[in-house]
Amino acid sequence: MKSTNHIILSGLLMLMTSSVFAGGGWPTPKGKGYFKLSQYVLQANQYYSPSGEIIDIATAGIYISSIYGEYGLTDRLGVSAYVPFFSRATLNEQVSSSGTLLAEGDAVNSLGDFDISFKYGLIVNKPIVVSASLTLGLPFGNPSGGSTEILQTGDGEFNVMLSLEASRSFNGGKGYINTLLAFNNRSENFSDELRLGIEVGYNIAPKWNAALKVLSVNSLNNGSDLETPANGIFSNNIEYLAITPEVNYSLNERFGVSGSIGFAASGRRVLARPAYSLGVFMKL
Amino acid sequence: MKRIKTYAILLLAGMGLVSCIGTDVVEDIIVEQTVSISQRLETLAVGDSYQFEANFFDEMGEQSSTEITWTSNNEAVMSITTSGLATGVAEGNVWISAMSGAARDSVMVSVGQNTVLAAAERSGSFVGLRDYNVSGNFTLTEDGDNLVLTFSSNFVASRGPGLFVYLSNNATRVTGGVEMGQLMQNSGAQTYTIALTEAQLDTYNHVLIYCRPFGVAFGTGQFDN
Repeated sequence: MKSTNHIILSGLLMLMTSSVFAGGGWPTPKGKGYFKLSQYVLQANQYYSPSGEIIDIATAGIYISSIYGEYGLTDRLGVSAYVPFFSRATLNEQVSSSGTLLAEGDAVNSLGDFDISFKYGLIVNKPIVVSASLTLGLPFGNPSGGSTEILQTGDGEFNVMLSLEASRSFNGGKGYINTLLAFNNRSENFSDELRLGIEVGYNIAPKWNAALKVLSVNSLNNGSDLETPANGIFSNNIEYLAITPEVNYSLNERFGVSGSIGFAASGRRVLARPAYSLGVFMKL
Repeated sequence: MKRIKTYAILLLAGMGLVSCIGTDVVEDIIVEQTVSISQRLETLAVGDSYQFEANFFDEMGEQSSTEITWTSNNEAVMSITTSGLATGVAEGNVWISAMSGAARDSVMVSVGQNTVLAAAERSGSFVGLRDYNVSGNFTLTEDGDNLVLTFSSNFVASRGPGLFVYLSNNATRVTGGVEMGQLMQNSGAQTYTIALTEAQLDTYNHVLIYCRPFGVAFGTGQFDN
């Protein structure tokens, strides 16, 4: 398996569901910030094939420890970063029911791919606020790990994503709606992506906030499976409709805990099992 | 703050508990035992002899050795010993059968004026499965003691993790098949060689492009002859 043939980190992209909506159309005010330590787990023995059919595969695991942070440089301009400081991908060993070892398991540990984003408030202090973001995807992960060299903690490509987010609050600020339109320009012959998203959140009780995030990732199919530096089965032309319920509980004014379950209601070239995320967050 | 540190430590420690490499138990697929006659004889001359051969595949789909019994449905046209040595007796057509238990395979051959063997080459073309892009032509030939699988220059396959080339008697599974090697490149002409002791020209009916780590067939092709 040469370096061009690797396993996928399709599940990783599901993370974008949470980070891409952070703050929505509201830029982080100057001097304010939000930081979150998260653990992400996805174990999948099913996979959406390129035709969208769910098929059984050897169980793949993705485990990521990450820090997400956003900080307001001015009242209109904010910066955020997603830093997966530990990323692990595994592949289960395969044993027949008669006990014969069919294939050994495999694993790789490394950094993951980082994201750095700059958000600028285009329309602020209005009932509907709009912001634009520039996100840089930095390929710090390992695109060909494990003894089989097919495991990935990154896809090996640099990407630039431009996003527009529009948001408004309702019910006296107890709830909010964010919408997202994003174009993800990928390098190395990967297809570009169009992303559409919507998030609805509400303070369901004192200290409790619940949100439902829906993200649709659509490939523009303008890349080439034959020329990407990483494998095509998972990492190029990925498409999915991710639905992610999330619950946040504030321990006090600064700290809280967060949990979410994200799953792909439909997809192509993406793992077909739920991803779980737990985190602790801090507000500045 | 103390409580949040505790949560953070628990979060990080929890990762170690869930991220071990697990074990998938793959259920053995039970299939019918089969016998497959491996032969290139088209016509056998009166008085000539020809040694038929056959392969036996057990209930796991694996090729294994067993006693095979040969019969002719018309001994007046072609006689055959129980070990598969046939002799042309008189001109005509005849069915030759190989049996092992309930498994059976039959081929029709002719007895004529000359012994004619089919060309020692089989060919076919790939089709993609589940929208994976696999296409192009292939040929299988014998070269001395080797079996040689050649992909034509029009071969193309989607990239994937751990793609291997298999000969198999199933269009989508490789159980009981033989691995020809890791896919060398995703496009263009390429050649795979194994010893004839591993498989013969007529042992298998399909060529598969197979993602071995995940157990997914990307493309398949059936021999046309």
